[in-house]
Amino acid sequence: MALEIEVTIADKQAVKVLLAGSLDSQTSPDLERELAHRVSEDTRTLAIDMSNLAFISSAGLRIIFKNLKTLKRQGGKLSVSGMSPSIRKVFEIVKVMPDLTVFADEAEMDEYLSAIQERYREA
Amino acid sequence: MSSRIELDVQQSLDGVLAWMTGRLHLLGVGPSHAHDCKVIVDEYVANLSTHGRVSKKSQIWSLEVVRDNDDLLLRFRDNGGAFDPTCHDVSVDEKGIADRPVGGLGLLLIKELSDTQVYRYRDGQNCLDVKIHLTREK
Repeated sequence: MALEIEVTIADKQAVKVLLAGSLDSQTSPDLERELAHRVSEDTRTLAIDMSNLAFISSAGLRIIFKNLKTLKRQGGKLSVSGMSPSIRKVFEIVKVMPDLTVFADEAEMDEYLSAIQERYREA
Repeated sequence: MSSRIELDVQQSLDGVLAWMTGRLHLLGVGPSHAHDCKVIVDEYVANLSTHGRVSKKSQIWSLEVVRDNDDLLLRFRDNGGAFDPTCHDVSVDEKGIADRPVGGLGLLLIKELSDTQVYRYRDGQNCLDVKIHLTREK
């Protein structure tokens, strides 16, 4: 199964990515390239919506870990939304849930992103 | 539908995952366990590509999917270099992500998503049998 990557917000501080399909050993290089291009030293929030993501393996987790570490170093956060129970189980096994900001769905995450962007504008 | 599929490690996984999905459906395995099986297969093949390469010869692997009452058995075979995935420490420490390495997650997922893993090297082949109890949520 292929991976579809749609970037819906990409400004100086925030990047939002919608994933659909399968994030596995064959497709993870696509996400790695996309995020390497989008996430800069100014990025403080990376938001990933997984509502249409059917599958994730350790290759996909590695890309998310790598970006999470980068963001933490920069004082930023990585948010996820729309995790299916199967995908959530994979994240729980590797004990990464405490490091993530988790939203039930994309709407909840959008609300958070709007608030963050408003705060950046005011600053 | 055959219970076994064989292919070169260079071939796309899409075909084998589609075959396995159909096979699991026929065996009455639900979507949650089917997802776990897909993760296990992806991790096995990723390890094969990383650790199993011994020469430029064609590297062949096979998967057999068998149901025995409430047990599902995934039998992996490959002709790569000997690699025992069951003898590695796969524990995850409790440190935050900033202090942890990003690798080594594949073997952990195989272990945690299944109930037993038995490895042996026989007749020039890696043989890994992974069993999942279908009646128990892990």
